[in-house]
Amino acid sequence: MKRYFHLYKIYFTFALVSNMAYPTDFITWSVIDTLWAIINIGFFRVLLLNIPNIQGWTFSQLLIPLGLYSLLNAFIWGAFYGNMKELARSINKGTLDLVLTKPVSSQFIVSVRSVGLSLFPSTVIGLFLVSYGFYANQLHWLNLVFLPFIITSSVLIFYSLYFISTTLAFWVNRLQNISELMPNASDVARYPTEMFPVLIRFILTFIIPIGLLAIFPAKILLNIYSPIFILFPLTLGVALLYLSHLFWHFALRRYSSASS
Amino acid sequence: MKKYLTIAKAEWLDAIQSYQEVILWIIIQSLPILVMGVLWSSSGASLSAAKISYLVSYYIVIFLVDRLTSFYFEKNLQDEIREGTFSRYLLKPVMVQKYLIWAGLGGKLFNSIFLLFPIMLIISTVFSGYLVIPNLLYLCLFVVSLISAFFIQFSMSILVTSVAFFIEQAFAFNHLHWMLDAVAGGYMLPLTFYPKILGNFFGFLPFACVYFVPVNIFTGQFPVEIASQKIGVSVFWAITLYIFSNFVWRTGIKRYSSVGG
Repeated sequence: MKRYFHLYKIYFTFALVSNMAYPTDFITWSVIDTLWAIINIGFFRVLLLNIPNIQGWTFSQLLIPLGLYSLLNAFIWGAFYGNMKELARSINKGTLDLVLTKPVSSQFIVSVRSVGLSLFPSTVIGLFLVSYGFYANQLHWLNLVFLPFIITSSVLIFYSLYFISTTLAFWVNRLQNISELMPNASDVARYPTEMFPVLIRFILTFIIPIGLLAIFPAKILLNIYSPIFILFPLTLGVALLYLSHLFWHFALRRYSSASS
Repeated sequence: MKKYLTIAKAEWLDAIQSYQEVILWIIIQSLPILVMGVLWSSSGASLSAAKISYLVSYYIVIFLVDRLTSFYFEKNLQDEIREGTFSRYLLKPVMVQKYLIWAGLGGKLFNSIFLLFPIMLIISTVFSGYLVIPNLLYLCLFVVSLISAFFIQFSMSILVTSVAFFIEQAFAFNHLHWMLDAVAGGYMLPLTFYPKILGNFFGFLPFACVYFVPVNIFTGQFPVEIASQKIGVSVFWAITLYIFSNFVWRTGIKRYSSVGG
């Protein structure tokens, strides 16, 4: 485990240094990320100027899931997207050999090779929205102790679903855009699950648990659910991570190399 | 003309080869539309039935308009301009803009016949109780506004791509384009949802002619005279932007340089 932490630290530092070598890119991405976040919040603000609430959720309540979604976005675009895109390309082109021959977990390496610049602005915006949501809803600040557990569970669930879906590229010859599916599908996490029909709600909670990424944990922070319920997404996240590990090894049997 | 038809055919064949990716793109793009459809159809008591019908139809038609008018060449071309591999387009005995239009048409034709229309049929069936069906006159006006939107989108894509001739961070303009489409074009929310001053201001911009105007013509929100006026504005923007984007493109080409062969 220690070795993996050490490796991640090296990968992270290297990615950060290579990103910082182009400061204009960093500034541009920060502006883009901030503008998208403003548009995202503005969308719900304007929407709720026209309707009183979304299935009982007011704007101030929605600030919490929007903040959690923004924090998750930091991981999606900062930590996962580049790696999953590269993974889909490597599977398609048959260039995974270098990774597979290394004496560490190949799943680990393909998942942490690069770090994107979206990590910082989205984190700041996310923390601001959650804090503002706490203030607007007059929540007890002690509830913030659950935040690390919530982020961990959301990241575990999202990463596992993203990794499993990208791994499907082993079965289809030309499906490089598979890495775009989960980041786009994660948009659904911003909306209250109550608005969906029962079947879709069941799928979003238990089968493809996107509903557990922001709305469910927001209910814990808003004292709608008891804190004990945090164990559900956390346990599911760990189970899905293990499933992604099994699925990766199963999928690798389909891999054929293109190198000599 | 024959060479451009060949380009369209080549793109058609490429679309057939990568049909799995095309299906996935359509699924990805239809997700937010489905979510918005569910959001409005579940908003029950707070809105009238007619308004819910309009809003559900709005997002379904937005999806159709987007698939039929959007171009996706910006990022690839920007990369080629930056890396200097763009020269291959300049060496061909075709105009780059015409090449891009015909290639886009070839891909869209395949997508529309085999993928988009069947998926539209499924979505329309799911929301059949809410869908607004236009009469023949509005359908004709919609087609005209769609053609206009097609050229506005093309010119915008050319403008955004041209930025790569001048600056390194051209990708930022792709995002700016998407943001303006989403907010000022009415892709995210109908312009009537915004505070009046903001909505009116957005209504004057070309982005509104891409989504908001065609969709509102389709759903019969504009009387025929207003719809005709809006189409007139849309055609004005299409011509102006086409001329302007050509000018910027030609200026950019003069600045372009590449090394190697």
